[in-house]
Amino acid sequence: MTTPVELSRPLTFRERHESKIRQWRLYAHMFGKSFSSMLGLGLVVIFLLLAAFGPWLAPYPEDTVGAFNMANKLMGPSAAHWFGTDEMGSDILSRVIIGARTSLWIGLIITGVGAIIGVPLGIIAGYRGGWVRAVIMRITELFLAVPGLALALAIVAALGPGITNCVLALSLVWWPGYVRLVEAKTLSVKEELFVESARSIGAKTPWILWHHILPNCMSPIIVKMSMDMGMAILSAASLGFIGLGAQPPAPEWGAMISVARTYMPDWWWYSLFPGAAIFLTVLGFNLLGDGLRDILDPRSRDR
Amino acid sequence: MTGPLLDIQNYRLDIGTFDGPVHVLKDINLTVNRGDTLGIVGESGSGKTVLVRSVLGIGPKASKVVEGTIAFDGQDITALPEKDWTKIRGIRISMIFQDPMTYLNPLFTVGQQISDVIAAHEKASGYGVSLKVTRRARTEELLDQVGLPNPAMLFDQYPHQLSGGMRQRVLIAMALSGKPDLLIADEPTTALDVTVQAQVLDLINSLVEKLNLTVIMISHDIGAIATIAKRCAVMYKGEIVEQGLTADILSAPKHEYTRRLLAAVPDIDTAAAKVAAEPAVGASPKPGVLLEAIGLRKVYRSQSGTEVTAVDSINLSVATGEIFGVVGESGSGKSTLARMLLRLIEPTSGDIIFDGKNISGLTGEPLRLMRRHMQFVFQNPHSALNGRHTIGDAIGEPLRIQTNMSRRDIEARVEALLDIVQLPKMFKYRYPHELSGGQKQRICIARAIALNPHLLILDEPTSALDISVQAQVLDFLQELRAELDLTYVFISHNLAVIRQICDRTIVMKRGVIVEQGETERLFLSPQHEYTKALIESGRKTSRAANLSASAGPQ
Repeated sequence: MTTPVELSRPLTFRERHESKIRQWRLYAHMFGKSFSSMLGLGLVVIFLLLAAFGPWLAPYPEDTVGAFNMANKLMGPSAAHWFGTDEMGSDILSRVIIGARTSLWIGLIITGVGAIIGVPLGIIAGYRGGWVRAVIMRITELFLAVPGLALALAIVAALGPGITNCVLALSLVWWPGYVRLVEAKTLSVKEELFVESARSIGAKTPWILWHHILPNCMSPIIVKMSMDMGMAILSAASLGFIGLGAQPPAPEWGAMISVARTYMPDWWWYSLFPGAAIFLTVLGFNLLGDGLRDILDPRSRDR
Repeated sequence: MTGPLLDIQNYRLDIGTFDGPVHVLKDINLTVNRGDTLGIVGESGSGKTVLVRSVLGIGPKASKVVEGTIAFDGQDITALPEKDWTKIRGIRISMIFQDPMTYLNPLFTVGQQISDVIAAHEKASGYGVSLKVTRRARTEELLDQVGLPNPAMLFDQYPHQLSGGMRQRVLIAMALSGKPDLLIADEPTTALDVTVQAQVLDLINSLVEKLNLTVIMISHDIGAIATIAKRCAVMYKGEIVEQGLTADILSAPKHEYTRRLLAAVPDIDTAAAKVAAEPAVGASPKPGVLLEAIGLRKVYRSQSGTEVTAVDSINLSVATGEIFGVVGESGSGKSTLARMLLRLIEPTSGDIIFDGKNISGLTGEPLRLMRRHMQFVFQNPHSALNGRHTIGDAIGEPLRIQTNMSRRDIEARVEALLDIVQLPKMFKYRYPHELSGGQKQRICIARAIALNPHLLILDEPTSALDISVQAQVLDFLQELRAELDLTYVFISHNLAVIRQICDRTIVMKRGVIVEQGETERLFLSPQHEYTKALIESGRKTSRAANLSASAGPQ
């Protein structure tokens, strides 16, 4: 450690946050050393860029809102249409690019809502204990006992197909995982001395939960959210594939494959490219989550 | 077989970290002959554990030997392949670890674990594994050797059924199972109670005599080293600053660091001059009782329905301005008592009177507001601070919770508090993991005094710290008390520390007070058997006693 010297001048930003900067540089260093983490980060960044700038990047943006050009239907990949065209003559590349935004939104909302419902419940269950915990955990287990996708199917079937209902249904089945995770973490964190220390200076329960328990639960939550992004996108695509999610002509990857499967295998490009997009996004988020878990692991903190 | 058993020459070791290589060991020269007992003393972080672990080939990951060699019985073991290590580790060199609980597998019986070790050794030596019965007999013989009663029954017991001292004996038995030439003991007594410490040290001593062992013992406790080791090396920041006969080093330390270290060790047999001076300041202004406990009891009910009385009908009164000591071994209920006094644990029955008010019935907001007048300093400063908060946040937290001070006022107060605990102001931007143990404990104290409390309850505030740091913190606590007019309840298992700073003391055993009174009287003429035993075993590892004992025969 550097020898502490009293300075009369106010410290610069860099000096005040020296330790934070070092911590972030350490994270970056560890993350950068792992090829798979960087690959995951790269894939996620590419899809984020596609989602952000899709309408400007897509060569034929009008094709994504239902324009058709029967003269060009089902053409193979070419210079004009890199990913080929579909049965309406629309450019598949444009539809895949625009679809990125839909898919990422879906993933973000599902994991976000899941975490917003699950994390508070988990913290309360873990911290309170007793019958509160028993009630919350039994309800959680009830949800976990039914396969998520099957439950979501039932909910969408009841509400009617459509992208909003699909997101709603998946969010409703997504939170139990967070309750489990956060409850377990809270149980261990609340035994830490600093929680007792906070109580001994007269902190109220909400203060302790917000300032002491939650920050110490953040690493596993971040890792799980990143992993879940991929799974949520996949689940939404599955619902789209069986016709319960986004409805054609909306450019959603799952729905595109759903239509394209009748054109297999002769017009292979039609299902290959949306499928590859799903595959790469899910892979990207999973690798990113793995990488984050490696660097956020407390065992690697003291380096 | 005429050469030294262990010969370390110019050994230098680096550990690669994100911030570049750290020179952990610098130019170590050490020789250990057969039958030697060598002690290595040093603070945490001085590299003593890394050194002995390198001898056993289990040094830290990412470490790199820069130069030098370690030779064991004439064989260079600096870069030995893993295959050859199996013939040395546990068989020719074995090690006793610090924490006996974590080094025993809770799922297997004690006997099973030792016989497994025997089997592993037999396999490694290539003679084939002997019969189960033979191994059992050998295990029982080993258990008997380390002074454990009824080895046949013990064989089938699980680690959690044994006390800390017994577990440490089991580990020693395990280390002896391969009939090692060299036994390395890494802080073998640190995790144990005073009375047990003395027993374990006696055991090691008798084993050295009986089995003609060669021992290297590491400790931060100079008293423990002096009981065991004939020769001694002092390590400081990765270097051996001094080595020689233990008696010589203790009586005439040459290096400046050794002198500081020896001066910092509190001595059980001297009445501290400071204490004599302090009460005159503390006692004169306002006599009166600040804290009183009447018939305080805490009963825990285990899952099987049996009741355990952790604290049984304790009556005590703490006068304003005094330092009130609580001594006892682990499990005596002293921590439970402390937490009950602060209402962090609900007492089963009894009353707590603080400043003339009964606080045992308070709940909700009144209890929360009362908390600002009495504060707690925890044993382990490493976990008492939230690792995600900066030091500034940690010290400012009580102010944010209990007062309406503006952000700016809090900042100013935090800086003032850092000043009081003698740390630089820029520490408020640091995180706990960047600070040393002593600094962290100062932060905890700053946090505790932020609200100007009347009473501080200190639960073993120095036992997680190095000895030289402990001395600093104790001095600092005494200064602080005079400055801020505080009353302390000081809990410790270390009698020398209690004697150094406490005015009055109670001795606890299994939840009851066995003796109480003026600290000096307690030490000079203890009445109760238990107090006598406690002081006696404390004296055993005391520096002064060892000085005369080890200097005597020569």
